[in-house]
Amino acid sequence: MKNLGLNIKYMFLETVRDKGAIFWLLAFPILLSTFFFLAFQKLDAPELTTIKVAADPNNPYYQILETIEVLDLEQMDEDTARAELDEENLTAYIKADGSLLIKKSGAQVSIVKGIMDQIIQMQKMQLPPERYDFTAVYTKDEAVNLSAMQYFMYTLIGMISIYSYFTAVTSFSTYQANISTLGARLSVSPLSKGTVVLTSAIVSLIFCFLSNIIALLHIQLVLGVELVNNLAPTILILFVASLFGVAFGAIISTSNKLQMDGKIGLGTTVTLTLSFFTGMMNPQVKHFIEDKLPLLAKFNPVAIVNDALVSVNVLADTAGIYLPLVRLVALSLLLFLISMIWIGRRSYDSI
Amino acid sequence: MIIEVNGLTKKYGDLVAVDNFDLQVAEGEILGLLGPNGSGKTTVINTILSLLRYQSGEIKVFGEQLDPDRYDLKARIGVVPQELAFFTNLTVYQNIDYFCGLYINDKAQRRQYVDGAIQYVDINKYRKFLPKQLSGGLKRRLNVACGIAHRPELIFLDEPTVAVDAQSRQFLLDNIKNLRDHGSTIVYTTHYLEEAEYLCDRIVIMDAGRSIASGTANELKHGITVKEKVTVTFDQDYESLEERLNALSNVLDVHKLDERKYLIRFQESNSNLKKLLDYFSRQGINFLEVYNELPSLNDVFFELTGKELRE
Ligand SMILES: Nc1ncnc2c1ncn2[C@@H]1O[C@H](COP(=O)(O)OP(=O)(O)OP(=O)(O)O)[C@@H](O)[C@H]1O
Ligand SMILES: [Mg+2]
Repeated sequence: MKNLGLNIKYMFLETVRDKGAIFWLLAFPILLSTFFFLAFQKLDAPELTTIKVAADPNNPYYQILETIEVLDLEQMDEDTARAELDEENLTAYIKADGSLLIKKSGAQVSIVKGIMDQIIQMQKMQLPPERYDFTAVYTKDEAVNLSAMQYFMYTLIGMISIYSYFTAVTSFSTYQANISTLGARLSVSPLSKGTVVLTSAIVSLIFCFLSNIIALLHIQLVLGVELVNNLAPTILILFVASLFGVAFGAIISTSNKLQMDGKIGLGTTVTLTLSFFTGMMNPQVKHFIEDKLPLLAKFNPVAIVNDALVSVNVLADTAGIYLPLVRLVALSLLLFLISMIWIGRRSYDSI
Repeated sequence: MIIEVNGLTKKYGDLVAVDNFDLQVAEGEILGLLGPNGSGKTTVINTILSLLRYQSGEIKVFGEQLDPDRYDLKARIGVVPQELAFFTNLTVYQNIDYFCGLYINDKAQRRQYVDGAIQYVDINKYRKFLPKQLSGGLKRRLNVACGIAHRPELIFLDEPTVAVDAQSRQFLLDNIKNLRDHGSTIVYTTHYLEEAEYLCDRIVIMDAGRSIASGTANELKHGITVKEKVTVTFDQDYESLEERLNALSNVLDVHKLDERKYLIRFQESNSNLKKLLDYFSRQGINFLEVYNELPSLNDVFFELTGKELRE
């Protein structure tokens, strides 16, 4: 492993000064996540359909209830309300003591219940009702589930980690005689295969990992989409994801005789396909793949990364991520091994 | 022999780029591969360097087969490829330092070698420049520096002076001689006759993938039938002049170059000019200008192929 330090130093410099690489690694994820954020914001806005409730005008809570936007309050006596509840024209009737008259439970009922609990609580504490933010109850209740926005952003992170194969393709291809004159020149030097693979892998890994971290920071801090609840395992997942991205780039670079444009196109196609299988465009696809092609689902790196991020940060399940991550590391090492064989110090029919 | 190539044939598909080619390069010499565009010079070099597979033949470098993973042999070689090849985002210094570092581990020695190479191609002013900030000729010089900085035993230079201005070219050629004087063996390709003649200890002339002649410049020139060339411009038209000139002794052939300008080629070079001038005065033929030349490598090439090497 002669000259490894020298190779890493200069390959790092070569990459960091390459505006194209920096764009794809750093700017592109930011632009892409912002773009999807804006597109999703509309879709993801909580549905503010109001909840039909009723109360007697003499009900002591009547005035407060009138001020709550979520509630569509009607004046009604208890008997009429019972009939309306039967007809399902009403979600709940609020009695004078603050208790609810309902026909069946559900999300809307629990929202009304939450609101009433808060009102009663505040009255006990003698707080003025203006101090209470009723919408918070409402939205908090909804946020227990993973929003479509969050799900998408996790998938995006998974995709970006693999998308960083781009640097790896560039780096690995630098050393190949049939890609560039520089590659030919390096091929006639005493630079060994091992040094080539290690240099490319380490330098690309640094950039891929950075790219992931920056995307994550941007989504969480700038766009304000809550993604990270558990930092350490999240970092681990991103690191493994980057490792795979690099291994993937190594294979894209070494497995075929395509020129650079072709290799990049091939990589993008595979990345988008894997993201598609993870349900990025349509969540049904993911379930379909899990059902019909379980092996692909198991080894689909975008899905592994996506699932791991969700389990760690949403479901608070850290133990479950290790096996899939080990699988991903194993897959990456295998790809490195193959690319090491393929990268050649070999002779070509034509360069 | 540092390099020995026997019966090398290399095809690209159906195209025979190198055809039963032989080459011997002795230690400490500058061997020139001279040939027109597409004659196979670069292909020969890339095949010797094991970048290219070949159909038949035998290649030995330092007496051994240079397989792609013979890093020990590659460590003794330096290559200046015909096409520019360096890192676009590294400075001049960093590029040379990188390539030198692939061969030289010791840092102090490397610094000294890199500085030496920078002096060699005279780009000290541009150390901190990125390649894109360099002119075409300066890029060429950087390309050379990257290939020779580690002071290799064997150096391949593939048309290194294309696009380099006359003054820098002379400087570069002298420094290449200098490399040889310090013990390097050099394979130098070019299609410039003057360069080959000035620089090379021995020349192999290539055409259509074949080696058509080899030897020192003098041997090559002596090897052809033409030994002397005289160009005369007459003051007027003389009757059946071309036939009369052709009939003179030693004359090989006569070419009409211009209205009254003729090139007379002789097959022996003993006092042709004097005999010719005597003949003119005897015949009352007057001329405006006359001069003689010894044959050039171009004549060698022309005689062997029927084509001019010069464009
Ligand atoms: N990669 C390739 N694929 C197909 N044909 C090639 C390839 N490279 C070279 N050739 C052909 O092989 C022949 C020899 O080319 P080569 O580059 O060796 O010539 P050269 O003597 O170096 O020419 P030049 O002076 O222009 O550099 C030419 O006919 C060329 O068209
Ligand atoms: Mg050439």
